[in-house]
Amino acid sequence: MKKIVLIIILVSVSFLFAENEIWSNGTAKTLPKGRIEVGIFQPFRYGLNETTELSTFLLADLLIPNITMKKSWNSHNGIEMTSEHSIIYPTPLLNLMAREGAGGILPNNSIIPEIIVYENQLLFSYQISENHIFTPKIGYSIAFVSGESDFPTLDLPLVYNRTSIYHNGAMFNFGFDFCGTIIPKLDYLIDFDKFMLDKEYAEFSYEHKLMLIWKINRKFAISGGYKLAYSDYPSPKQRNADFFPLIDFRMGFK
Amino acid sequence: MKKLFVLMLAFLLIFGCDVFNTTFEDSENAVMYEASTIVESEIPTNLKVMSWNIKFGGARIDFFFDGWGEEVLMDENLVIENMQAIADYIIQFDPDIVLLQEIDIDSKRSAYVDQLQYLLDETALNYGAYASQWKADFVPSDGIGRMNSGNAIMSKWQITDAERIALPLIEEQDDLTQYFYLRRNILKTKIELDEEELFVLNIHASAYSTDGTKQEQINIFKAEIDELDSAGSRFIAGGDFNAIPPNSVNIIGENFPDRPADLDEDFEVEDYDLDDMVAFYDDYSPAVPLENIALQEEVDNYISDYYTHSIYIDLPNIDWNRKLDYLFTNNTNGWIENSDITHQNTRELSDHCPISAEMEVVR
Repeated sequence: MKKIVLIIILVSVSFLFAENEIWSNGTAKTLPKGRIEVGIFQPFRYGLNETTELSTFLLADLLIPNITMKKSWNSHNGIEMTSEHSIIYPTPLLNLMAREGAGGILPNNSIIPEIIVYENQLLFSYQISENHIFTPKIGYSIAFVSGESDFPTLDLPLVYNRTSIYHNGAMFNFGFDFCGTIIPKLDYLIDFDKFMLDKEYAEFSYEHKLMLIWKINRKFAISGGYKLAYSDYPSPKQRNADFFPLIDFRMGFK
Repeated sequence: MKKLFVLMLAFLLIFGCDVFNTTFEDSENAVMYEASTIVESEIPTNLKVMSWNIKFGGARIDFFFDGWGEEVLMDENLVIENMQAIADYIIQFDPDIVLLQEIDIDSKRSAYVDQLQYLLDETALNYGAYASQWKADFVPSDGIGRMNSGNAIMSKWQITDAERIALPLIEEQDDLTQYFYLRRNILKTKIELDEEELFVLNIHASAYSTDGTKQEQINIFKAEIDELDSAGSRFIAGGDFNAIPPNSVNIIGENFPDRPADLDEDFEVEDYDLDDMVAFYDDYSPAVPLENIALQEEVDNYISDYYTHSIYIDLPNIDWNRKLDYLFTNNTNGWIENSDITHQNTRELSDHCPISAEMEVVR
């Protein structure tokens, strides 16, 4: 609880300042006002004004309504601070997953409660050289659960750490991003995250991502890379490390 | 959602990847186990052998796996409680070698309890070998999730070799179902008994094939023990054959009294074929001779001291109603006469009861 209070105070005392940049996720920068960026696997992002960006995973919205607000707050001694606040409603997706036969990710007799997940994260971007930015981040997620609940955890890489809070209530995360430009039109993003989980079954989860982003022009970009996940799971025999290739086609408007 | 799975299958086929880690080589090493504490045992005069399909510690819970129930997952306390009951029975009977079918070592449905390690640690059996029959990092169907279940052999003495021999898959299944489905196998082990080597083979043949796959699997098992016999090796072979004895009088699948009215068609059992087990009885010594079985069974009267299986026991007056589990040997003197036991007092522990028999150890 102390951590939550500290984060809230940090956000509250910040004063408004902003910098914008296109194709810029992974930093404290928000999109310029009116700009839209969308990818197949990236969220739909919209620059609401010079300091605020809204985003949502459009393809998932029908089953797992979600929205994120990213707000630039502060720049002090070259460090830009941004907060991200997300609300996610996974109940419809969980209900869909609880079915007989193929596609039954959860047992048909699962009892799915109403769940609202509230995620918050602070990002601090520091320009370490002309073309490279270092962004430490810290965050927490809380799940508000209402009603009877009886369904199992989803013991899959990238999923277990994000969904175990439906059972346990809270999760903390911290990490950092490095991003920058290798050559004109070719950017990179390297990130590392640690998730602190429920200790009954699993204590930790780490994720690392490396992406190259080819910025063809203001309208198109292609990104590719990989993600590594290393995690505890309820099964002591489950493989800890998993590798996932990443590729995405992204479009920008304005 | 089905389109998603077709896409998933296409991905699997295009890239030739075993993404969910479900497949096996035709022949590979079985997984070896040891009890956390080894209890030294003298080689006895008579070897006590047991075979038991333990239904993954699910006792008599009505699982959807049975074809009519609702339950999919157990919590850890329930699994431990059920496994302890099985361990207690084994401790009390004190067998020297145990053939197990449907034992989970890393399954979501059984709370990821390694049941083989649990039984080794709780009983006087020291060594184990395991061959997976149903393995997947994640089964995206019916909430099954992670699965690793199979056959095992436990022994008081060192298992020196253990091989998993793959059996044919059910051909009539579509590719996607087959990818995530059970992969039957023979677990073939070699156990050192002083100066003698004893081969022990375990099978759990298909239950729901209607295309002759089960018979093919049983024939391959027979060929495997024939080869050992030809080489002059002594063996014990047994398991859950999902086949009835050649002189059975009740053979019509849908006539069995414990067939639930709402049985899912995927779990419908074909009519039994009386030829399935003939070659075993012709060539080797069964733990329970056919003449004993014949003395008991009557048409439409499902009562026998030799029945080992019932799928459903919550109906009044329904008990074990078919024999599916067997032990055979090529030992010169066969099994010790009247040493066989069909442990029908275990009806709450699994949908199969253990069978056991004793065999003289060659000195």
